[in-house]
Amino acid sequence: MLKIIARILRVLNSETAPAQIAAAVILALFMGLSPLGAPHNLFLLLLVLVLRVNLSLFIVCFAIFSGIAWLLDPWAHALGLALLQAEALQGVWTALYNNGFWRFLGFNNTLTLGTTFAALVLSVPLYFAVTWGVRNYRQHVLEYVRRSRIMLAFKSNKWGRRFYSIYSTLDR
Amino acid sequence: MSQWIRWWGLGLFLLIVLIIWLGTNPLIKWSIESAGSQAVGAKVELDSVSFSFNPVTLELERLQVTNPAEPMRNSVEAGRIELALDGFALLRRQFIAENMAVEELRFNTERERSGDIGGRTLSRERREARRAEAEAEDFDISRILPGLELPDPSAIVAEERERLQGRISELDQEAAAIERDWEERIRELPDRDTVDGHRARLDEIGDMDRLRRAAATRELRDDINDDLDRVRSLRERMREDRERVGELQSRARAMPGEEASRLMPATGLGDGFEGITRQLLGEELSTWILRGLEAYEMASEQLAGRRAEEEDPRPPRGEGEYIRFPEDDPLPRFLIKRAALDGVFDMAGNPIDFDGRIENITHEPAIWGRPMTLNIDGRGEGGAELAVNGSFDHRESPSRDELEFSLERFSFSDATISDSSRLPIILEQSQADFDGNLVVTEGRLDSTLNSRFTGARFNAGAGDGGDVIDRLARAIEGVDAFNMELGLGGTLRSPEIRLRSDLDRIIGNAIGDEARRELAQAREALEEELQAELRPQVERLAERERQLEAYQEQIEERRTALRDIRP
Repeated sequence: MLKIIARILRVLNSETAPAQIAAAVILALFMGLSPLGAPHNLFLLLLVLVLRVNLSLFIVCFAIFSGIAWLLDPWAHALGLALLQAEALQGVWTALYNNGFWRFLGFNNTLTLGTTFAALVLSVPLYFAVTWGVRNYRQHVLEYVRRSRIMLAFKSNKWGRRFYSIYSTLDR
Repeated sequence: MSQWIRWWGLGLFLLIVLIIWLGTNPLIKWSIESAGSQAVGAKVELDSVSFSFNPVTLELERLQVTNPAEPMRNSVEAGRIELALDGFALLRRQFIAENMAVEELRFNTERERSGDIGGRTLSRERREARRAEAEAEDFDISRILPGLELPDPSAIVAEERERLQGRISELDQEAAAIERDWEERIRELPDRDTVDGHRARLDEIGDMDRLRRAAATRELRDDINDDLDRVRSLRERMREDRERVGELQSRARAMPGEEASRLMPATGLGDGFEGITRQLLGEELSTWILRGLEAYEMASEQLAGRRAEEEDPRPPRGEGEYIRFPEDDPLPRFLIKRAALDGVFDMAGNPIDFDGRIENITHEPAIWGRPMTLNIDGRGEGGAELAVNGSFDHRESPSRDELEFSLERFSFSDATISDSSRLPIILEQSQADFDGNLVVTEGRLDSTLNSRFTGARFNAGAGDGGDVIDRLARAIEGVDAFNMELGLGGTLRSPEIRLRSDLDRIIGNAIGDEARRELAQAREALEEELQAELRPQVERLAERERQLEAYQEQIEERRTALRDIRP
């Protein structure tokens, strides 16, 4: 666990592009909110592994979003149901339903559609929030923390030294 | 570009896909076993599963479905099941099998290890239902045999008290309403003052001159006639009401006798031994029938669409719900178009080799538009022939299932008819012909099964059952041919079983007068107990009748007085 946190901090403190960090969070958002067995998750997994997104950050965010998805399950179901029953969208859904590819993706599952729609809506603001946050962290917070007394105290603590040693190892 | 691509990630992804590919068969095996165990309430096991993509087929080797009531036995066992699947439909999340072959199908086979899952995957409701079922099975037929334990009248009355009180209180309430009605109605009766008034007017008329006397007499006669009309109407009504209260009272007085006659057969001790066969054989038959109906209900729910109607509207967490939209060529989510079966059905120790076809197996028959049909033919040793034909139509409400079956020249050997400790009955040998039908309309049962047994040889009794039991055992052993007619009514959940047989007469004749006297005494004791229980209510009814009698005396007295003074 310490290693994962150290990795995340390393990424935040490194020169990694904020867009890459945001991509990891967004992919974790889609995969974490969707039911695990949803077919589109296989495609997302391919993206996570092939694209140079940070895996540690992805794993932590995936765990967090999966927990949120479990808590919000009834609302996601209700959202998906409302979308699938919306009168104006019946033509679209019927056309997709009669197409094998979309049926395979399970778009007509209330939870799959509800969570995917929620992830789509959240992904844009989340992307900008993460990139803005990473930039601001690097410009204003990082140097301040490095020089702060708290950090000095942390480094002198047994657990802090251990964490810092892991962090430093990742640096090499 | 290379800044964004992680090539080893592609390798890892391919490795994950390969692992999923290799894990398909174990995953399917696990899915079938866990879903099956959950549905049955006991272990469902497979030796192996083989799924191939070209052509898309699924092969299951040695499917075992444990009998939840007997975990060391399988309800069903199939040596091999092969399904030819529609691959495109699978991608559309539909399990459509053009053909299914079920080979080496057997029932009630022994297991090597217990298939009990200890209720681990069962819901609380199902666990409780199973416990209740196990308690219900704790029954010994010897408790209801004549001469063993005659019923305790007090116990029967205590058991029936609420119902009896309800019945008699209905009678009393009706009588009380009549009595209350008369408390009001009697005020309409001309009172004594009115009669005295008429009498005074009559006296005055005697002193009048002729002209005035004629007019006054006419006027008095009219008034008295009016009063007499009222009295007549009340008298008529009283006659009807007294008749009704008398009838209610008679019914109350007759109730102990009627109830004794009704309750004695319910304990298995009716006069003339009508239904003794039902008592002797009914427990085993009931067990077979209830198990059969349970299996039928489960199969019907799973295969013919009833379960789909009862689904909880809220899907389980993490699963969601698949919404349907109009399709050009709609298909159910699960469909087996044709299934060919072959196997062995073991009945009373005799195997019957059968083969047959089931068509249109689906849990969404309304979408598929065709009912499930079943045709099975079988042959057994000694030329026994089995034929079963049926259709299960759940396309629309009311659902209707029809099944016709016949089994001819079937040889019984060492079939346990009753495993009572006091009166075990074994049919050592017999040949039988059965034919019947079963119709289930929206859960309501209507079925008959006729059977004719010839060349029967019974072995009955354990030798220490007492005089009556011994005579009963000898009577049964003397039977070499008999008929039985089994009827089913009620519902699947609460079936009513009727059994008629000429064994009743044979056994009744053999048991003799002594047992009949014993039963007559038991009936008398029960009737006396019932009389004592119902006496207060019967007396209250008599009291109400006496009150009506008093009212009637008043009516008669006024009537006589008015007629006496009418000029």
